[in-house]
Amino acid sequence: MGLYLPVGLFILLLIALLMAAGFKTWTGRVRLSFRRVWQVTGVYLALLLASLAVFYALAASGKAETLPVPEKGPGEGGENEYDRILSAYYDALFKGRLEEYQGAELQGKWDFNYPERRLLVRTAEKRPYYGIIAVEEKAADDGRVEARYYNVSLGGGDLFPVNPPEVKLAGEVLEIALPRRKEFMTFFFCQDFTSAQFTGKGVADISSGLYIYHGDHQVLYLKVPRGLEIDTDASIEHSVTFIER
Amino acid sequence: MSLTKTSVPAVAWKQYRFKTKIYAGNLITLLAAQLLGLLLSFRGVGFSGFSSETVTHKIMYISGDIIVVITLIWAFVVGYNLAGSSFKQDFVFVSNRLSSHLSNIAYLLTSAVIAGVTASLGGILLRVLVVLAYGGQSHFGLFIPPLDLAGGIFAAILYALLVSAGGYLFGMLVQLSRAFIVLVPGLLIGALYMEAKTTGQARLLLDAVNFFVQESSYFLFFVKVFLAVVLGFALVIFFSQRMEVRK
Repeated sequence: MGLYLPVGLFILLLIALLMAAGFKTWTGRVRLSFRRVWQVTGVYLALLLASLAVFYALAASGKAETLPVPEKGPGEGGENEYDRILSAYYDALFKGRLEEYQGAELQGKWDFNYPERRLLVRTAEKRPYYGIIAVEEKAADDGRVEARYYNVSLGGGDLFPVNPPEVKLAGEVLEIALPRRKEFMTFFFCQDFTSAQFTGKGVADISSGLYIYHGDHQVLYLKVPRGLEIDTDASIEHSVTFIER
Repeated sequence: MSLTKTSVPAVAWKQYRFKTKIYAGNLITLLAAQLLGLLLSFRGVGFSGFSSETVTHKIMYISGDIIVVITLIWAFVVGYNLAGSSFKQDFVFVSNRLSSHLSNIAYLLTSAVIAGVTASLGGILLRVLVVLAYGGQSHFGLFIPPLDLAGGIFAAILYALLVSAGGYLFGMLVQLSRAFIVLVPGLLIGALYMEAKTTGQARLLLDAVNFFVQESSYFLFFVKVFLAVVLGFALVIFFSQRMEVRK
């Protein structure tokens, strides 16, 4: 905090003084016709009222999305709710229950017949992959490699975009083809602090609850036949986690 | 000697009507200030972002906070200027200080209502403009329930009234002595600076601000603002009794 507040106050005072100088011009030296002022004000008010009508028409047309940020409990920040969701998601992952877990969204699905005993897993073009690759050994050797790409479900839809990779089998290599980086832009509307005071939906309330999501929570989950030996190269060697059921 | 009988409320009403006309220019500055706020808010009041090997995601936070803050600065300046100039205008009428204060309070109340309503609706205009300008992008939290909007307008009016009463009190102190124009900000900023330097936090102002800002009950918020405004106007009337008649 420190000197931030006095400096901020000083800047506000400066703006106030500048506006005071402006007022003198308007109300002192330059006389404005009362009628003209009310005409201008009337146009402005009409514009505001028209925007209010358009605003609720937009909302009624379904273009308005509901707020995906979890509601706060008494005395909680939004991040506590995210903590709970993420904790349950990773708990399901490490217990090998991600397939049944409702809070995981399936983003990609690939199945391959693979009767061999060794499989090299790597990325295409040796691009580094920093996400989690979970490998689970099946109870039986059914000769099939199943790959699933999951993301945690926070109910935000487009707020949490995913750009899933492609998984291909080429000979004895399972290749993860990372897509080109996509850019996403999202507008998050927060209530003015005047209404947020009563509703808790202002900039400070919303943005603090979203920060924790700014990380990768996607998982490439591989189910491999019993006894299949997995090799990796430098592109994914720090990403592989073996799941014990 | 005059044969026409008159009363304080009647004179105050005449003065109020007169002031709404001569200070009509204030409305233009209000519009200019709110449009400036709209312009400053259009590219967002905050950003966050995330980048991985496959995704770059930017989140832009849109809010009408800047419009409301600029409107509150406007309200402060209106209160300040009114204290400085209204007595000159009031001598046009057969009046006393009480009628002058009553008309000023009515004028500040009117200004606060206009400022509060237009500032809150300015936030709605901002939302509509952003959606229309960036139609292809995804957006969240656009909809405001009408009751929340009404609550926001209610709070904005009360904040505008509170701040304009503060400006009026400060303006009246400056009328008492020009030294206050330096003393009040100097004492305030100096006290905050010393407190921040010694304790690491500026609790004095934070506590005062939080007294209003952290009140989540409509009724209690109204009561707090009402009492603060009444106290401010009472101090103004008290101080102005000690002022000499302008020559």
